[in-house]
Amino acid sequence: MKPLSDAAVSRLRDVVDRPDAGDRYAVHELLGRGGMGAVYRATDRLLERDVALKVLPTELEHHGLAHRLEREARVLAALEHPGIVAIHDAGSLADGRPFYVMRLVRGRRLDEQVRTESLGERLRRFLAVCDAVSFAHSRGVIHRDLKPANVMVGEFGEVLVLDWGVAKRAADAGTGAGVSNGSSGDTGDGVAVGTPGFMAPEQSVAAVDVDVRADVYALGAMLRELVGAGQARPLYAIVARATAANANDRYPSVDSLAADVRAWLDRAPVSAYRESIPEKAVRFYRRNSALILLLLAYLVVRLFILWWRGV
Amino acid sequence: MSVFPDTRLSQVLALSSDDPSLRSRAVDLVVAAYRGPVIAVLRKQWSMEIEDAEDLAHDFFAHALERDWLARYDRDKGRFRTFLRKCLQDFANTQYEASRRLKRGGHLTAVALDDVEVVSTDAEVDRLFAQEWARSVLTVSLDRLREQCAAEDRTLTFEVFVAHDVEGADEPPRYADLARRFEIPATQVANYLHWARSRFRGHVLDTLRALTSSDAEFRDEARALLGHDA
Repeated sequence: MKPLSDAAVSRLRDVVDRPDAGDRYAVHELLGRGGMGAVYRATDRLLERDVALKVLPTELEHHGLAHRLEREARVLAALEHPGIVAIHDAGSLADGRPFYVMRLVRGRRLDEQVRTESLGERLRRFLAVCDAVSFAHSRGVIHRDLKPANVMVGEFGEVLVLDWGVAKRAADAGTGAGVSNGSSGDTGDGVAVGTPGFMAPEQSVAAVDVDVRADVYALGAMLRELVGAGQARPLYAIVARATAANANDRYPSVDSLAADVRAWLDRAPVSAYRESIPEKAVRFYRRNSALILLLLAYLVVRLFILWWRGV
Repeated sequence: MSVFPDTRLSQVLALSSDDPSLRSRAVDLVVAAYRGPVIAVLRKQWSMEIEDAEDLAHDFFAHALERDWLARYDRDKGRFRTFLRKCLQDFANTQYEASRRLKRGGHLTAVALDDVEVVSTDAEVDRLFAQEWARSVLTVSLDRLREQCAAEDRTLTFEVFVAHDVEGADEPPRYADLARRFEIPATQVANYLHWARSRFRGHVLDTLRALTSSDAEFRDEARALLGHDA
């Protein structure tokens, strides 16, 4: 046989790699690829809408990882929340690889979206992430790979937590089950998962069974990125507590972390930071500035009247 | 019987088998998959004419078998493809030195590598080797599909597949055009393509498994073949 042309090589690569999702889904371009899955834009011909189709990558097909994508689909199906991308369908491709179909999120990654936003807006986005993660925790699911790249801000401003590929359910506790997203480069059971920089120290030890505080750590690392430099000390204290090396020194839950961020936004005291008296005074002034100014104005007027009468 | 070995097993590991028939079949696959990349490298790196490169590629594989080079592959030290590339480089360097010695001794034009110069960097040649290896794996897999189609009386299926996914320029022909050309309904074109693609995919993955020695190497080579390393 004569050598294949470059165009034929390209098409045959596509034949091997591109999912054949049957009559219902027309698969289009690749949106992203991680260690655990490749996500394509697809069209649902039945409902006539664009969706995102996630499939096990070809190179992992022979690694017994099919059940992990199925488990991810079940995790997503169990998490019906406005901050978690909705799953529409799941099944097997013609070649046997499992896939699932989810809402196609049109928007921007959180880290790209917040570049032009005020600190207050960034923190409110962060609280939306906390809300979704807290909901997952209430359903016994730990994300284990939270980072700005896994959070999207949709076209309506909604914040969505994505990529639950390495999530662990309470039911999996003790198995260390979960796979890396490629960042840690491994795919076996009981291995370290997550992304350096956002991964809690205990997460890098494969044998340790992590709990919700691993997500608290990742959220703290994410908060540090969102806050940036040159902000108030209490914010950094929140970050420091959330990212404490020892899990016992962190916030015990995402809700308690979110409560501190919310308190800071409301100019209330935060549990992670002990204020000095001047700082308390400044915060009191900032929180009640309108009332204080009104009182001061009243006092000035009263004093002026007293002085006028005295004259 | 198929001319191809059982590619569900690693033929790279079978290269060091004590069973001569297993070893021979493994060699057949390795030569089929690597002959093209070897010739391409010889042509590019040493500016050789096609006939000279083919002759030297033949000598390389003959030498490798004679000296049992391929059986010495140690999977703990890296990919088989990298190992073979290194063997080729050593072989070509040795041939070059030998040709220079011959020339100094007055034997002119005796060896193909005489009077040529290295014209490409290692990175360029490595890229070419990888590219031609991918082409070769796909070609071997296509041969296997053709053989399967012939055995299962599906010659037309293979022809439709080749017409849609192999021949032609960038844009594949429309199903309706193929239906007219092969005088079958358009739905049959879709069915044939579906069947052939699924089998072709299986052959590619089987071939890759045969050309690798471990799960990790399979994963790395699959990524390379599919262009995910770029």
